[in-house]
Amino acid sequence: MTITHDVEREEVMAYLDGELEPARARDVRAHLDRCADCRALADRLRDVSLSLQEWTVDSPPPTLVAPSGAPAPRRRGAWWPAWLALPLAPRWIAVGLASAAVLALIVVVQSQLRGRPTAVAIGGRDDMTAALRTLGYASSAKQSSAAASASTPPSGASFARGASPSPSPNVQLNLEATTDLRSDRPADSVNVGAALQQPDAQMIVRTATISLSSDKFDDIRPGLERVVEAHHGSIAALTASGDPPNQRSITATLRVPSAELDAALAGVRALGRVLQESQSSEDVTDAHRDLAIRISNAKVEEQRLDQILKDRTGKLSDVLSVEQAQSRVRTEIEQMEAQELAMRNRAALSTITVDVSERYVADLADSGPTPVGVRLRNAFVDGARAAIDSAVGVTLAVLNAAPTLLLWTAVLFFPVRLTWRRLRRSTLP
Amino acid sequence: MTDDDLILAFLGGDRAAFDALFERYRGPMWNFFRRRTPTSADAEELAQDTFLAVLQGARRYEPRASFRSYLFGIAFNVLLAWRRKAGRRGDESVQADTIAGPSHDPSSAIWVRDALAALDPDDREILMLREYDALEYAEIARVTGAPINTVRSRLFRARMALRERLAGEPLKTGVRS
Repeated sequence: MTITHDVEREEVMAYLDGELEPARARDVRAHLDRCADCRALADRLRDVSLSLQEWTVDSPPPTLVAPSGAPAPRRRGAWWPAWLALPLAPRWIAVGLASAAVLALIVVVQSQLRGRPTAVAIGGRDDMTAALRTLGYASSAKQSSAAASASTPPSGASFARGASPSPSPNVQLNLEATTDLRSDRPADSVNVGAALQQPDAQMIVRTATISLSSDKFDDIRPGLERVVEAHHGSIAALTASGDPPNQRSITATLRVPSAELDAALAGVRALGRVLQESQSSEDVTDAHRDLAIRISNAKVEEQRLDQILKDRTGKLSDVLSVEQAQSRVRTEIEQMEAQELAMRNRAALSTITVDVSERYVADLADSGPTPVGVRLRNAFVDGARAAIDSAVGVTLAVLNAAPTLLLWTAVLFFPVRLTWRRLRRSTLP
Repeated sequence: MTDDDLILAFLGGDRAAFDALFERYRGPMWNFFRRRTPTSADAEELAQDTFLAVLQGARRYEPRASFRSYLFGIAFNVLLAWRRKAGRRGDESVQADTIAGPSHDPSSAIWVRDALAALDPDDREILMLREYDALEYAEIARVTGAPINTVRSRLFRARMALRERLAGEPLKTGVRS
């Protein structure tokens, strides 16, 4: 008689282990009654279990006693089971700590190297710029004053030209018409020395963006005007759109003194419900200092050209060349001063971009039902457009693929045909 | 009282409940570690560590599964941690697949232990949890973190492999009929 094995071998094992559902256990039991192979398997499995029981161990020693103590209080934030924390390798903790220490050491060493005073030999205008940077325009006043010569007035910086020990003419760098880096207010006259002695002087361009939703939309514009007036600012741009009953919105750009940005933002927030707000700041200190140095260098060059013109002894062509150079330098100075002024203004006045949308509630009363005829016409037009779009899309796809298909058909046609014929010949009797 | 009753009573401040749990599982824990460590001192230390972990982590116990599988789960992880630590120390007498040393074993059991030692470590662990620690398939799955079907197939494979090994050495031991 043929026995159908409708139970798996693992099920025989699970039956012996008492791991089967009662109904399935009955099936397996019945199968075992009529299947000699599976009975043999069951016997082998029982043998294995019996054999394993040969290995016995000693009784627990009397020294194994219950640990003393009470349940430890639950650790705050420890959501994982206690036994998960046990296998944590202290070595990995040590590796993490060592990595953090090395990282901290690198950061400290780098910051120390960046702030180290450096002796500078200046050979030209570019060297002067580099020297100013090297001497740490952004570093401490102590380093800057140490780099300056003893004869330098307190408000200026001077650098010895050339590295020779012989007396050399000093170049005075007077950075007039730059900015007072200690404050946001524009300054008529400032010098690099003062700036160098202000290690903490920073120029930060701050901007903020805020989106509001308001029920009282008509009050938004007067509200914005009140805010800028209260904080000594101005509305740089304002765009209003929308027409009742549709949703209306206002986009405005406000300029307020940086010191009053936070207060102005608080005023804007009070105008409605804040949907989104973000602030950003850009540190333009280094860029501004570079620009100031370039201006000072250009002015020094202009003075030298003036001096050359005053003491002119050369040919007329030389004089014309000097005048051209003087004109070029003056243009550069004016351009850079304009840039510098714009930069100061950006730092002095922060920008707030305000987006205000009216809280929109759809009004069914104003929108009557669309006539059936219009809806049918619209549906027909939409359907016709979809059909045309579909046809155009298919045509475009064909045109797009056609050249490539033609090319490869032309290339492969003859080899494929030749191969096909050879294959057919070879298979013929 | 059930295990859950005891652990909840212990959380309520009943120290005697923990002692009762300890007495209930003192033997099983000892057997668990004794078969998996080379010396009785190691087994005793690890069993002690396990009960200490239960004591310290009792507040986090949640009766989602049986206390039995919770306890064996702790024991299993204590064992794995101990093996890792021994491996880092370079202790060659304790490898990941170490089972108990031959001391104190009757000669009739040596061939069983040798056959077990030759099995795949994961398969062997599941087989031992079933045969010696009498855990159900679902409990073994919770302890080892393997799916229950995997537990069943591994258990079957381990038993078949062990059967082949034991069938090859009947004369050496004279134990099997």
